[in-house]
Amino acid sequence: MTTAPVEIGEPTRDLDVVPDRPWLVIVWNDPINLMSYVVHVFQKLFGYTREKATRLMMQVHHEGKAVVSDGPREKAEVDVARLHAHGLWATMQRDA
Amino acid sequence: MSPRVRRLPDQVEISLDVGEANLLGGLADELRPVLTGEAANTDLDPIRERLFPRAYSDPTEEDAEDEWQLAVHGDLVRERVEALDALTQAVVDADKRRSQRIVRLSLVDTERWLTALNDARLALGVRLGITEDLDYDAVPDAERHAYEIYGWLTYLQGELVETLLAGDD
Repeated sequence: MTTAPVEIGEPTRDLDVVPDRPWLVIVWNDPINLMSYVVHVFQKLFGYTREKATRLMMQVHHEGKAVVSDGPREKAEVDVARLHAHGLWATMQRDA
Repeated sequence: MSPRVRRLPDQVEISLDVGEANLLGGLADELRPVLTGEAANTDLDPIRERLFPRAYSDPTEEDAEDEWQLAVHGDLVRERVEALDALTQAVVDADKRRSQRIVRLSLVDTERWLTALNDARLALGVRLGITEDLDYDAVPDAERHAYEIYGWLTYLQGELVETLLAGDD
């Protein structure tokens, strides 16, 4: 998928009334995805180092989930779509 | 049951036997209509839900979820069908040496293979109800073949990922 350039001055979704609270992109543990593959996807999509990608993967594995990126709603939506395209189980939610 | 994977300068080479090559082509053909929704069997719903999960965990974000699905679903399907097509095409184009099939993939196509193999494993894994403590010795006889395919796909995908990860170092 592609991301359309954001027009300057165009309001973001009106639901975004609290711009200070970023959206969190969460990857959930699942029994099928290979640990090595998850590391590879984190590196490929987010440019993380092997160490950071591995740390996040291990957190998903042991704790059931990990926050892998954050930002405005539009960025989180793109990140979730990219993760889904690679078969990872990802969701987004507003930072508590 | 042991494809050999090796990294060439700008390619990845996979040696399959003819049965393995045919298996991959067949799996791609089975998965394609599941991705596109042409296979409308409700038994396939859990597979589609796993392949295309929700983005918003908050159920009050239903409008945003619908909007997001509308915006990205077509692209997600297209991208993943392209991955299956890349897998099928590479098998067709493979060098044929007796019963061996030598597949050479660009790094871009290697990524597509990873996607296709992963989607095939997700579909099969959901159907079989795979859990983290998967024990191949405890598999019922009727499903042994499907588990063997799952195990082989896992092995092949693992080899491909390791090859790419080693190349990144």
